[in-house]
Amino acid sequence: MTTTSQKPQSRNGIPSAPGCSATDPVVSIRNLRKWYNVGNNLLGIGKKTFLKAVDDVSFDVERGKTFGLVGESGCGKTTTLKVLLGLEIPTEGTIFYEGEDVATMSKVGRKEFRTNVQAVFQDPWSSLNPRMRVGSIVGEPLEIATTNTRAQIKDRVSTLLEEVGLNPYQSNLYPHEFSGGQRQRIGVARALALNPKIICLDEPVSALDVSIRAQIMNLLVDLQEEHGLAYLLVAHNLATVRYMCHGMAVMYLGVIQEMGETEKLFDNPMHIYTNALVSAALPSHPDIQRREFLLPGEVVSPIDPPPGDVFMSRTPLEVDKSHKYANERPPLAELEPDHWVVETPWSIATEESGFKVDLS
Amino acid sequence: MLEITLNRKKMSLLNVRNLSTVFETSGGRTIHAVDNVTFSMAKGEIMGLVGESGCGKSVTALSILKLIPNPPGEIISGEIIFNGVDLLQLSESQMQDIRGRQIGMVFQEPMSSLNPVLKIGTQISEPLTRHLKMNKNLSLSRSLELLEMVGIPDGKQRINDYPHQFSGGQKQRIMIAIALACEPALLIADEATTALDVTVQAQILELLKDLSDNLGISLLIITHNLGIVARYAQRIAVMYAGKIREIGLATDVYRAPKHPYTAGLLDSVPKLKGKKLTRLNSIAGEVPDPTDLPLGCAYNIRCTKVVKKCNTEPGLSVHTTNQSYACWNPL
Repeated sequence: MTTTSQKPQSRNGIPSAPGCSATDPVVSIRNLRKWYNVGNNLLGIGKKTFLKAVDDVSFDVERGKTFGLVGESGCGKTTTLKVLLGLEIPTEGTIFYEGEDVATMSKVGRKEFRTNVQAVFQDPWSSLNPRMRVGSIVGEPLEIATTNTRAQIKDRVSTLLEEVGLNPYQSNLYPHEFSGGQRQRIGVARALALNPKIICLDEPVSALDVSIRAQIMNLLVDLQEEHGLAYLLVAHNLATVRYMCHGMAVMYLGVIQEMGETEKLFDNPMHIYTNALVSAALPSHPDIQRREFLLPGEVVSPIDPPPGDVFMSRTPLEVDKSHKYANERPPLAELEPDHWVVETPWSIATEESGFKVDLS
Repeated sequence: MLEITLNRKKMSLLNVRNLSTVFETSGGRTIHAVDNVTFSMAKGEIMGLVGESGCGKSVTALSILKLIPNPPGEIISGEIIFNGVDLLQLSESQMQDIRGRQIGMVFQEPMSSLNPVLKIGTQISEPLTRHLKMNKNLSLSRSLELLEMVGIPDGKQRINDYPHQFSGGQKQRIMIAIALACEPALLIADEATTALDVTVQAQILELLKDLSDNLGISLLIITHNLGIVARYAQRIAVMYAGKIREIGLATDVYRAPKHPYTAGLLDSVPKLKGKKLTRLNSIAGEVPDPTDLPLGCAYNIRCTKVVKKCNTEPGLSVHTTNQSYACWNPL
């Protein structure tokens, strides 16, 4: 089914890419680009400028495992997730679902893909229709995508509500009658309705109260084990990612800067940007003394980024403007097994430079 | 009342005693948003007021500034002694001389706190002309100083820009510049960094800490983020359902929390360090409806250490001079 031509071939026709080593991926994303044209004048003349929200991103989400995307706002993590959900059309690149290129899928295949990829959103106050009863919200995917009878749907909704820790009788209530944590549970039940293979989680706990976050995270982990679900998690909180994710990627300005097994990244964060994120993450205890450093400035605009390394303008180290990677995009390099980093003279944190944060 | 040792009484800048603020709902019910809250802050001290949404931490801040909308809200009892004066006895015009002059405030949303149609220079110099009666030239040069202090480069050009021309972090820096314009003795930061990215959040918090260290400003940090308090505050007060449940030195409270709620909160946060947990310890249940609180300790429906006596409200009792808690069956 796949139509990849010159690209290096590997398993099932999915081209291999640096850092992508899943043996059984549910979803593989290859060379994904999402550019928005922001600078065209009325007649389409003049220089075109692009906002490069996602620029050449590749990763795998392994079956039954969680893959996390972290970074600051504007780094492209949510755009990546939206492309996978079909809410944005990629400018370039391929999404493989179960080894099949989504863009060239048949109508039937596409429907199956849409059924198997579901989402839970950040804000449980705006992601549930206030005029629908909970039973209809959770049952809606079943009404649309299956031929189940009303009674079957009702049964399934009851099971789903129980599964996420709610009471079946609550299906007659409206969303405003629930607290934030309960609403997020409703969102999870809706995502589970069609027995998906992968759920996209967009900051699923950041809008919730501290004492509720742990409940929802535990619920998600339990459901993953029970159903063999894969998750694509987008978050800015590193501790959340560490708890939930098996693999992760750190993004900056639309580009993956560091990727690999979660524990490896936390044991030995190599990229200065990853270290900066870890350093900025607040300690859980006043006794924890961490070497601190702050990156100068703020995230720069993703509109017309320079052709070289995107981190160039943010690094605290000296940048050699004549270096190859000041003018062309550096690739990910495998600096230790299953741990990939963008390696340039100004991107790697070392003990001497003082930008290495020790977490172990 | 109990946690204040004699020593701190002498140097304290702010003494909040038995403060209670209520709101009337449209259904005719009363919400005790702040219920008999007592705490004090010393000069130059950084204190963290922590709790979940609806626990009354923001209402406490608004009560200190007397910004509670009335109706539906009302401060029904208590004293707020600031620099020896009870703010609750002051008239509205006297309060206006204190807000922005002696007590500065920074709110969560920098986007909605700045006036979008005024140049930021105008907004920074407003407290200077209003409180310090500075003329145009003086206030301009002071505004430039302030912009530099909060780390906004090219002040001379940027002072004529409008809020939308700044990033979120920069807007929050401008809010801090406005709040600090008259060098207040107390700065209240209500979820001031919640809407910002982590690296920017760290920059802003470092800035606030430096300003507190250098200018001797007391800082009341209101947040739900226990990490901010762990990193920056000397003292912590934990609120739940309108009451302070535990208060004390941050190091003591984090090392050995006495109230089960404090312990539960600290436990439920995933860690960056140490062994990776397979399960987080979560607090069961949800925050109770403020119009329908359980009898006695409001935490008793979620508490794992509940005893019979929890049907009555515990007062704040002293554990050490540096730590007090309100619990019948502490850890």
